[in-house]
Amino acid sequence: MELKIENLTKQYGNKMAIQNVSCTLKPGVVGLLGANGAGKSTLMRMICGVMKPTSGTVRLGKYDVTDMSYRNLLGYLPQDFGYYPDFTGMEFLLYVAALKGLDKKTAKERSENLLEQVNLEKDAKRKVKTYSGGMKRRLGIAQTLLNDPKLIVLDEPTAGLDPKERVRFRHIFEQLGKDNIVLLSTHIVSDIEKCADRILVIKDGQKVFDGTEQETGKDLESFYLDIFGGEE
Amino acid sequence: MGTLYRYEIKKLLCQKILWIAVALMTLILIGVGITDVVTGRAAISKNYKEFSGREIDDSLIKEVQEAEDQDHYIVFRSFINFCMGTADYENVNEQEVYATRENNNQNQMKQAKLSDAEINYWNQKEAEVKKPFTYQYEEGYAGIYTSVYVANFMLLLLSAIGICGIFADERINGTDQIIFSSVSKEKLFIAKILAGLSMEIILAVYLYGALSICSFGIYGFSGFNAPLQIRIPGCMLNITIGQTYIYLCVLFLIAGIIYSAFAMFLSQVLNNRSAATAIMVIGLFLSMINVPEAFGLLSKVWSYLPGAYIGSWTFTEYRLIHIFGKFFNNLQMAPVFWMIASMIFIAIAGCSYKHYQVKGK
Repeated sequence: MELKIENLTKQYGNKMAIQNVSCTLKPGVVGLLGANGAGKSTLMRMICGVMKPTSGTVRLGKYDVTDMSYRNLLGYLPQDFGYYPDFTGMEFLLYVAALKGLDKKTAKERSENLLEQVNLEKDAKRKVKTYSGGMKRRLGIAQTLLNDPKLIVLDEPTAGLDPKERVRFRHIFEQLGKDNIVLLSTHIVSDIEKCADRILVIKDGQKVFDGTEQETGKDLESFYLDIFGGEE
Repeated sequence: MGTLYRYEIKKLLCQKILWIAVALMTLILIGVGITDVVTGRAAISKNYKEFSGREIDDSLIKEVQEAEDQDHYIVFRSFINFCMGTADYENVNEQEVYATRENNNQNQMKQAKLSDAEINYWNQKEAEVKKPFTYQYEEGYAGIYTSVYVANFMLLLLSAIGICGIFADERINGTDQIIFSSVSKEKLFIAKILAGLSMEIILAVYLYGALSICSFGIYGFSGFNAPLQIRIPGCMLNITIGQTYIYLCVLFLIAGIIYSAFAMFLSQVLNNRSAATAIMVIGLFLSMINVPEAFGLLSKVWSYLPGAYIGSWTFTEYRLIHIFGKFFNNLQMAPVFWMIASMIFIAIAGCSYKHYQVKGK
C-alpha cells in the first residue's frame, strides 16, 4: 500500500505553511526532518485528515484522506495532546478504541497487548494524571497502534522520553516499518538516523530533500546543519 | 456508542469544580429551608392547617377582621391584601374581594394591551375557576414556588460550570486531534450531546428534588388539590397547586435541556470554555432584568427566556400567542419554544462540529 501526496498546500492568509509538497511513501520508516515551525505538524495533520489542505490530495491506496476507510488504516500520535487525567491508562486506551470503532472484546485484547508492549502493564489501572511525561508518551504511542494501522503518523514521538526509552521505541518503529508506512517527524537528527529508511526534509513549508541517508552524501547531523544552520 | 457515552459522562463527572458547585448550592437550598424554621415562620404557618377545607367567604373574612391574634390569620390577610391592592381589609366583604380581584385582572390585561379576543380567552378561563376559593394548607408547595427561581439560576450556573467544556476542552487539551483522526466522529458528537443532556437532567432532578425535600420536610405534602389562586390570586387558570408543582417540575427539566443545549452550542462554536461560561453567566444576570410590557415584542420574547420565566409570576402572564387561529398561553408555549430552541442549538453545534478543523496549538 502506498501513501500518495500530490501538490499539498496549506495557506493561512498570506502565509504558506506548506507549499506544493508531493511524494509517494511505501512501507518503511520515513523520517520527516525540519526545524521547529518548518511545517512538519501541519503536513502531518493534513495527512491524518484533521486539517483540510488549501489544495492538493492525499491518498492511501485507493482511499482518499476524507474516506472513513482511510481512517480505519490510520494511527496518529499528535505532537502536543492532553490526556484525560482522571482516566486510567487502560480506560484511555478503551476510549480511543471505541473512537476507532473497535468492538469491546478486540479493544480489551489490543489494549492489554499494547500496554505490555509499551511497558505500562503494571500501571494500567493508575490514573493518567499520575503518569510521568515519558509514560504518557508511551501511552500515546500505544493508542496509535490500537487499530493495527497501515499508516502510522508519529509527530515528535520521542519527545519527553529518556535515552533508554528512545532506543526501545526506535526498535518498535523499525519493527512497525517492516509492513507499514511509518512517518515519523522530529527535529532531533539522532532519532531517525538509525532507523529511517528514507528522509524527507521540510524547510519553510517546502520539501527540500527526499532520499536516503546515503544520498545526503554526508552524515545526517552535518546535512541538517547545512540546511538549517542555527535554526531551532 | 454506549462506551463513548459512558466515557463522556465520566469526563463530565470528573470535574471537581462541578462537585464543589453542587455541594455549595445544596447548602444554599438547605439554608433557605432552614431560615423558615429558625425565624419561626414554619411554626406559625402550621396554625393554618385548621383552616383546611374552609371557603374564603364572608364568614372567614369576618373572622379575620375580628380576630385578636392577627398572626393566626396572616395567610388570609395576605390574600385579601393582594386582591384588594391595599392593606385596609377592615371593612371589606367577600363580594368586594372577589370583584376587586377580577377588576385588577381586567386592568392588567388592558395595560398589557391585550385584544378583545385575548381578553375573552381569559374571561372564559376565569369562568372555569370555582369561587369562593377553598383554602387548603399548602405551605409545602408554597415554599417551592418562592424558591424555584433560585434553583433555576443554580441550574443555569451548573450548566455553565459543568457543560461549557464538553467540546472546548478537547480543543484546549489537544485531544481533538485524536478524535478527528478516528472513524467515530459523528457517533462521538451524539454521545457528547446525550451525555450533556442527561447530566443536566440529573442536575435538574437533583435541584428540584432537594428543593422539594426541604419544603415538604418542613411543611408536609398537604394541599395538592388546593386552587392555585389562594397562593397566586391573580391567576385566571383553573389549576391546582399540585398540578402547578408538576408543571414546574417538567418545566425545570426542559429548562435544563435548553441550558445544556445552549452550553454545548457555545462550547462548540466558541471553542473556549471560559468564553462560553462567561456568556452563560451574563445570560443569567440579563434574565434578572424585567423588561416592561411597554416594550411590546421585546418584553414578550424576554418573558420566555428560561432564566426569567420560572417563578410564581409565570402564572399571571396574560399575553398570548396566536397560532393558526388559536390562542395559546405561555404555560403551553414555553416548553415548545424551549424544545425547538434546544434542537436549533444542537443542530448548529452539529454543523460546526462537522466542519471543524484542528488548528495549531
